[in-house]
This record gives sequence, C-alpha cells and structure tokens, in this order.
Amino acid sequence: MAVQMIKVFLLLYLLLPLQLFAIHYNSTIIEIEAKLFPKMIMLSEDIDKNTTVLKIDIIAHKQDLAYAREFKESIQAKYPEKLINKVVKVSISKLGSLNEEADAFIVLDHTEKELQKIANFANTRKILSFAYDPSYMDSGILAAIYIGISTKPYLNKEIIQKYNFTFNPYLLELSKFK
Amino acid sequence: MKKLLLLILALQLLANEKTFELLDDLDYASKISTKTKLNINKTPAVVSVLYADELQKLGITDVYSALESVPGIEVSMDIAGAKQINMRGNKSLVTDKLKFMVDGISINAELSGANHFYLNMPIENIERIEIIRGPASALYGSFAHIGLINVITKASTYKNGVVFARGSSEGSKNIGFTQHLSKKNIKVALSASYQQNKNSREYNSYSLLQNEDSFTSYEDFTDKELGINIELYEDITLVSKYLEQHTQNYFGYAGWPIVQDPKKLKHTSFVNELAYAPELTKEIALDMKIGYKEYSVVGDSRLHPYSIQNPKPPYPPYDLIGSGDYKEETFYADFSLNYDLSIHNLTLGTYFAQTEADGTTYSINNPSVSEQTTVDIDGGGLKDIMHRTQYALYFSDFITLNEKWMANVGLRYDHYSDANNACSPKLALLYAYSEKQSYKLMYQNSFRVPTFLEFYGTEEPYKGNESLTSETIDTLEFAYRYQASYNSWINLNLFYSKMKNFIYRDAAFEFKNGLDGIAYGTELEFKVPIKEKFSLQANYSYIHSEDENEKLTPMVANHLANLMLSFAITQNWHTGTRIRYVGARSREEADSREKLKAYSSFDQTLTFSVANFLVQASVKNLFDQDVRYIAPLGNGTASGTYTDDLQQNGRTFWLSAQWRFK
Repeated sequence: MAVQMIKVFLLLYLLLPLQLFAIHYNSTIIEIEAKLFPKMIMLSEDIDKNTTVLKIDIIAHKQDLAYAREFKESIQAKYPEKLINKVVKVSISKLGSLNEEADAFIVLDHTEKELQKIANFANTRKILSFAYDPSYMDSGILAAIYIGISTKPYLNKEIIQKYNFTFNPYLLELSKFK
Repeated sequence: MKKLLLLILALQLLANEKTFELLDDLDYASKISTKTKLNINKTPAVVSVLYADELQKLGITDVYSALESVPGIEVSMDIAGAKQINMRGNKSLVTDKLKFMVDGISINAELSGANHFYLNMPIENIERIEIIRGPASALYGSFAHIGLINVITKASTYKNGVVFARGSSEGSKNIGFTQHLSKKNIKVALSASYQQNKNSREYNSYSLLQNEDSFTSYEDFTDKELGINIELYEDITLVSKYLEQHTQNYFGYAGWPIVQDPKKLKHTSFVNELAYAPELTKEIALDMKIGYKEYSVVGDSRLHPYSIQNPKPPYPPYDLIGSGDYKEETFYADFSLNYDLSIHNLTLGTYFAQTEADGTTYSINNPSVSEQTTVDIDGGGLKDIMHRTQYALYFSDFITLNEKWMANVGLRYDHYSDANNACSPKLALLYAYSEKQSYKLMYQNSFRVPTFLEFYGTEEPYKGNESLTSETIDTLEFAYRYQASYNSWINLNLFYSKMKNFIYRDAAFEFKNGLDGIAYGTELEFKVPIKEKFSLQANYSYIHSEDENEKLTPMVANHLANLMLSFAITQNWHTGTRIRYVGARSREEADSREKLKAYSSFDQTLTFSVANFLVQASVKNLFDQDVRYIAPLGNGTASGTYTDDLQQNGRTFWLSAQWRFK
C-alpha cells in the first residue's frame, strides 16, 4: 500500500508542472452577471452618452475561452436589442490585447498580478471593470455582484474615490461597498 | 423609507423603464441564488453542492460515485446489489434513511424508503447535486432523517442539451440525451438514458458451502430512464420521470449465492408533479404542488440454491425460487406560502399524502418438482392491504436580525394514520463575522416513520411489527466557513446526534425498536488554488457512532477522505485526479471476523474537448486496490455469510463521448 501511495504522489508530482490552474465557472453566476453588469454599466456617468454602441470586452485566458463565449452569448441573448439607447456589442480579449475603446471590461480568472495589470489599465482610462468573482476586487477591479442572503451590486469604494468614477445615486443606493 | 428613496431616485432617473428593472433583476437574482444554493454560507444547514461539469472532469460518471466525494458519506452495496448511502454513521441494513429527490420531487418508496435505483443516473444528464448533511425533517418530513439529496437534472434548467455514449472494460454501456425546445412562454425538455451493465465474478467463500466449490455473482442490470419537464409562463411546471431497473441478484437474495440462469427483479419508479408557483405580490409567493407517484417491484429471486450444495441429498433437485409482485401508489399535495415581511422571510405550508399498496402476491416453487412458482404464500410476504395517510403542517421563519446576525426557526407537525405523530423543531443561528467568514449553530430534531416492510412484513427475512415507533434523531451542529473566493474556501463542521428508537432486525428476522445511540464527528473540507498553477480540493471526515452500551455501530468507517484535482493542460485538454480513502469498517456484534480493512482508490481521467465535442478516457482504481463492502452475518442455518465480504471492481477503464447541443 505504501509503495502504491508513493507512486500516486510521484505521478501527481510529475503531472503538476504541466498543468494550468483550472477554476470552475458557475453557469448560474454567469447568467446573473450577464443580466446585471450591462445595467450597472448604463448607470455609470463615465460612459459616453452620445454613442449608440455599448462596448463590453470580456477578458479571458485561453483556457477560459469557452466560459467567455458562454458569458458573451448570455449577454447577447438578454440584450438582443438596444439597452436604453445603445446596442450592446460584446467582444472577447486577452490580457495582451486590452482594448482602450471599450466601455467596460468583464474580467474572468487571472493571477493577482494580471488582475492588477487589467485593473490599472482600466482604471487609468476610466474603463469600468467588472469581476466574475468579487475576490478580484482586492486587485483593484471596480465592481462585482455580491451574493449573500440578497444579491447586490458590489462596488470598490477605494477605486471609485481614487479614480473618480461616478455612478447614478440609484445604483449607489442599491449597492454594497467593499 | 428606503424603498421610497429608491423610488424617488428611480423616477429622477427615468431614462428608460428597463433601467428600473434592475431592482427586480436583483430580487430575481436573490431568489435564483437561494434556489441554486449559491449562498450556502447564508443557508441554515450544512449544504454541499456538486456541479456536474466539475464532477465529469474528475471521471465521475453517476450519482452514486458523485456522493462518494462528499464528506461524511460512505457508499456501499447490499448482497443483492442495491446501492446504499450511509451518511454520518447512520446506516440501516434494510431501509434508506435519506430523502432522495429528483428536481425537487421525493422518490422514496414507502415500502422501504428505497431510492437506490436512482443512484445510477448518468452525470451527463445532471446539472448539479445538492446535499443537506444532517436532519432536515423540519421542512421535508419523514425520509429526511439523516440528510437530503436533490438531483437537479439538466432538463429542469432548459439549457443546452447533450447526447452521450460511454463504455467500460467491466461491461458497462451507457447512452442518453437531454434536449429542450423553448418558445417564448413554453419550455419543454426531454431526457432519456439507457444503461446496461454486464458483469460477473467468481467467488468461493460462503459459510454454508461445505467444500471449495465456486459460484458466480451475477451483477448484470439495465436501467431505462425517461423524463419530461415542461414550463409554462414561468410559474407552471410539469415534471414526469419514469425509471425502470432490471437487476440480477448479485450475491443472492436472502443471503444465498445464486447459480446459472439467475432470476431478475424489476423496480419501476414513476413520479409526476404539477406545480404552480405564482408571485402574488412582490412580497408574497405561492407554491402549490400536486403529484402522483408509483413504485413497483416485481420478479423472481433465487432464495435457496440447493443445486450448488454438496452433498445434495437430502436437498431437492431444484432451487427454491420466490416470485413477488408489489406496487404502491401515492397521491400528494403540498401548498406553501412565502411572505417577505420586514426582517422576516416566512414560509407556511401544508402537506397531504395518501399511499395505497394492495394486491401484493408472493409465491414459491416446489423444489422437488420444478422451478415454476405455483405455491401461493398467504399475505404475499406483506399484509394484504397497506394504507397510509399523512397530513403535515410546517412553518419556517428566516430572520435577518442585522447585517451580521440571522436566525432560523422552524417547526413541522406530521400526522400518520398508521404511525405515531411527529413534531420536528429546528433552531439555527448564523453569524457573518465578515464577508468571508461565517458561523452557524443549528439544532434540529428529525424522525423516520417505520416503512411498510418494517410494519407489515409477514415472512422471513422481513417480519414486520405494527407496534414500532418512529426513529428520532436530535442533532446539534456547528459550521464554520471561510470563503476567499468562489473557488477557494474552507468548511469545518462538527456534529453530535442522539438517536432514539433505532429500528433493527433481531435474530428471528423481526423488526424491533432497539437501543438508543449517539453519533458525533467532524468534517473538514477545503478548496484552494496553490501557486496559481493548480487547484486542490480535499475533505476528511471522522465519524464515531455507538449504541447506549457503547458498542460501535456496525459497518461504519470512522475515517473517510477524498482528494480531487482538476486541471486544464491546454484549452482543449484537462486531467482530473481523484483519490479516495475509506477506513476500516466495524462488524456486527456477533461477527467474529476482523474489521474489514481500509482501502484507497485512485482514479485518473483525461478529457479532450473541442467546440461542442468532448471525449474522455479514464481509469478507475488505477492501482487495482482490493475494494470490498461488508457482507452481513448470516444466521448460520437459514442463511450463511460471505466470509470474504463483497468484492468490487478492480482496475477499470472507460471511454465516453458527448456532443453538447447549441
């Protein structure tokens, strides 16, 4: 038995360097966020009110592309026509090709350093950033959804103040602050 | 006041009416989060949620193997092949003590609480499995004695469907599909699966056989499952599930091995539910359900294979065959009202059920003449007509005291026409120390009403006893959860249970209320990313269970552990690793055999996916460990003992392919 268990751990040891961290994405959370994020974006005073297109970029690693596509399709299915006065256009981007023209980023799983890089890119350009997981807000992402007894928008107070983001009071009243 | 302020703000905004729906969307998201158990740290119970897509990457193929990965759960099998789930050391040889639900519909049969025939459900047709560990009678009544399992099918979500096929080196084949058709206010989803298992193993250690003759354990079964889910205008649903299982007798029925030409048993479960759940106002929601359930078991079983006994005289030339036919029907209605009133979330409900089982037949052959079962046994092994009417009233209040403190008070009263009434209280206190850390302290009393078999059985090996009283269990639980992110958390649970009126079978095969007992233990589980390169999920459970004379509960492992790793090697390739450890299991008091030794198993799975197509190759029990389940002690004359216990599959390979519909 002991020899076999050693074999097991040896096998694991050999396999580990080959493997990338693979997180589980919950499709219900994706559904909820796909519904709420675009409306939260529209309640920002920082997006250009004069354009007719709302540009959302989903930032994902290669191994998470299937989930990014699920997110994109979910947003498109929920907002097939205009949201207020804007057509919702969703793209998928990688960390290396962040789009300065986007109104908002939806950020999927990345390392802490990568999240900081994305957050810094977004915040300094007044691009709204939304996290799949609220824990990414620790790295400077602007907003997420808080799922507790009730579900609430979750805003990063420090980032709002530091980069002077402005939201409609209606959203601020509904939100929980980190 | 806050609502008025929001209204003013909303009116000020007035850019477009869609914007104002954000509040409705948040309410809806809150309901979905609760319904899908996303907010389990705010749920007044110890809950695990297993997601099928995660399980699949670990090489888990059905509900039975999925449940193995849950702390506190030990799986096993009886000698006739019925799969068993033992939770927190509370095990019964005859009766399933868990409430088992499919899409929220209880499928337990009154005959014996049986649910084992649903444990082969293929993971491909499942969305997630919700498990409440610990009593849940305050809301769910009798069968939720030690826990509850709710399998949510893909069909019920009306999401993209799947078609799949799987085959294993041990002779198992499985095909199935789920697909939906949705049009504006009408959603229809169909699901079906077919599984065929062809397996047998040689065996030669049976206490009543005088020589070293070997015999064969026939382990063939087929499962056919068909389901339809319909949703109309979002608040009307109709669910219908049909399952048929044909199974051979494995190590035999009633404690005897079987020989060639094994007889088959057929279990059929047919459940139907119509539900109407309108929101009357923003604060008040109704949930009305009516349902019809049917369970039957029919077939032949080889009770005493004289043909393999040597020397043959004075035994007759033919084996003793039993042929039975049992059917029960249940009509039920469940009406509840949910009311959001300030800090209270109140649920008030009533439940009614009526079960009839009659026309049970049972006959045997004349072993001196033939295998034809021509001799009717009076009473058919069960009382002629069995009838049970049940009324229940239940109440639950979830109180949000402030940002940090929440409480839950619940009470359920059950009245039975043929058993003692039960009152099941629940008290829970939740404390959210921070957004990441939460504590729960819970007390609950649950009960299990005696089954038809325990009440009305007339023949060995199941002699009923109408003076039985319900088993009860009082449980105190403490739970701590630290949730750093959706994919990184630690849970620590401590539980202490006191069992009363435990129902057991005595040496004369009669059911009796036995000694009281206690069980206590701890469950530790965590999921953490390490070095940003891989994710580790593991759990460990310690369970101690004993009667009032400090004798250990038989057939229970004190130590259980699981370790699971799931990785993306590239965008298209995943590997999943699963290691399971089950500690040594104790024996019955009269059983002089050594404890059944511990085992560990190692499963490795490789997944390749491209676009909608997914292929998996897996090896289960890679190191070919000797996995055995405990064989109970026979009585020495009428039944014997499988002295080397019930051997399970060694190293097994399987391959599967699936196509996910867009």
